[in-house]
Amino acid sequence: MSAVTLEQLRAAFPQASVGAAGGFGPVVTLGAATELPAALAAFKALKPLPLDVCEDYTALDAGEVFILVLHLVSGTDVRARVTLKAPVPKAAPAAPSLVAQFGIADWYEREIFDMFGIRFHGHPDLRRILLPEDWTGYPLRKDYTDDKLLKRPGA
Amino acid sequence: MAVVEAMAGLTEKFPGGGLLLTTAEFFLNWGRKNSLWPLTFGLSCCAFEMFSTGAPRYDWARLGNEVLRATPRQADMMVVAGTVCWKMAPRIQRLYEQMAEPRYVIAMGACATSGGPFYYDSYGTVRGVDQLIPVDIYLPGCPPKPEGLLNAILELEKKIAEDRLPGRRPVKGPAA
Repeated sequence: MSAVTLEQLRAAFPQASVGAAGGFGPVVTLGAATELPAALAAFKALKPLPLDVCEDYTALDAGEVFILVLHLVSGTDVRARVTLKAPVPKAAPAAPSLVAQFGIADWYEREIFDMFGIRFHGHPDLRRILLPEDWTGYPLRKDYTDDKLLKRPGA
Repeated sequence: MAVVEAMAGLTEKFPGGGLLLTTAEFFLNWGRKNSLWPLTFGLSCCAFEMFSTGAPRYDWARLGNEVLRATPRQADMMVVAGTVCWKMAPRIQRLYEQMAEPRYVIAMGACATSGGPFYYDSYGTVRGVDQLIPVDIYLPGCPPKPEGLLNAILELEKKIAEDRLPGRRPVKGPAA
């Protein structure tokens, strides 16, 4: 059995809520984004297959909060994979940077900052990456609007 | 015959040929429309149809689009093939301004003509490249087939053939 089992995850993360497989393996939801660095260390130490590749890192606007979403996978067996989620409060959208754990998180975090305005403490170079440098606002927030945007009539 | 002798070295004899008369305007337009030099410039999926149009199966070199230029200073035709976003907008304007005059623009596909599928609810898309630069030919499609782009080039050639020299008023009615 090469996939990560729910029992394995419940044993490794007693505090977190562990859900059945979604689109990308079992879903582990942390209580706060500040727990992310420790959780990543635990995933890297998971037996028998460490989840040591960050395949995707993005965010959602879930209305009340932002949710950071990571897809972790084992470099040895791609069937061992997990979705890791952590909420970020909208009042103070900030989270610890994961660049120390995964170098690839650098540009992912810049994209999340660009689109959602979540700040990452400890990021080496947190600038906009896709939008023009002088852009105001964060367009993937649900409440985003600007004078160029045209709403679909009737939607 | 006196003309030929007076202009020795400047005229050339065709076997059995006579004298060819034309206007400077027709001659310039004829040269321009048959040697469009496109800017090497593609934005998204439509660009692949443009590459295909340039490749041997469709071969737009048949229409005189011989050389794709990598610098706008040597190009006089721009195919805007794809979605134009606001970050790209000032770059496109600058490329257009650097192109040699007279210069022509074909807006290829739904995005370049109007914003296409990104017309509504998009924070990043320019709703048509004609908001940034003048467009000569609008080519609909998502994406248009190479036959469509060839037709657009032929339409552009017709338009160039009707160009007037500076100071001359446009002709009324269909072109000669």
